[in-house]
Amino acid sequence: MSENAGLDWRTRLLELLPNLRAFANSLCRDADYADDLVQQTLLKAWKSRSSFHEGSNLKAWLFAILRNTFLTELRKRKYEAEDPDDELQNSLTSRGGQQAHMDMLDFELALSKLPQEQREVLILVGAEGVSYDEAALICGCAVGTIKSRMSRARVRLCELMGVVGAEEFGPDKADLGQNTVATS
Amino acid sequence: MANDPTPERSTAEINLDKMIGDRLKQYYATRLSQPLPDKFADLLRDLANKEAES
Repeated sequence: MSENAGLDWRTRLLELLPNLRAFANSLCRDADYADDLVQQTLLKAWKSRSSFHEGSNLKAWLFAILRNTFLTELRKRKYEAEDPDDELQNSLTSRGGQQAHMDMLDFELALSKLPQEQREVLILVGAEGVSYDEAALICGCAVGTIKSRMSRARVRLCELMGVVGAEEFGPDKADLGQNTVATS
Repeated sequence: MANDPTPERSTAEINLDKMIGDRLKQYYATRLSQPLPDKFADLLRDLANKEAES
């Protein structure tokens, strides 16, 4: 491998660092641990780059390494990924008696409660913007499985947020000064 | 008609999907925009240097 090839590989990894880090953060929701995962991913990617097929999708390849690293550690350390310190729950409680409308805290709490396999698909497809094919590659499963997880994730997310329709999103009607319809 | 589609429901579902998508993107954007610590670039530079030396 020439020096230029090493530099080129380094540049390509650097370009994808923000995405790797965001994905790692979304998976484990712990900034320090996410950085560890990214570091391990970079080391593995560097050592095994001869196994990367030029012309294939580097981002998907890196994401798969990161995800596999995370899942291996999860099994090994029995790391509790589902809001271990109830941090989000506490932050929600501290907001007082607000209606459970859809704001970011509600959303993040609901997202944290999703099974890991559903959450990662939502993040990959819905946020990172990878295709179903790429998501299947990253998660090591069939495209149909990804679609099914995506669908179940959406339904579960809505259940967790208590949302039954799009009109549930947004600020309180009371906050907007709208009148409640009298039923009497 | 018994087999009428329910366009209002479909529209609501589409809106719901859009809202979820918007929230997801917002959630992810905050993570994407976090400043990167130097340690990653340092690690890659060290790896590249070691490789160049060997």
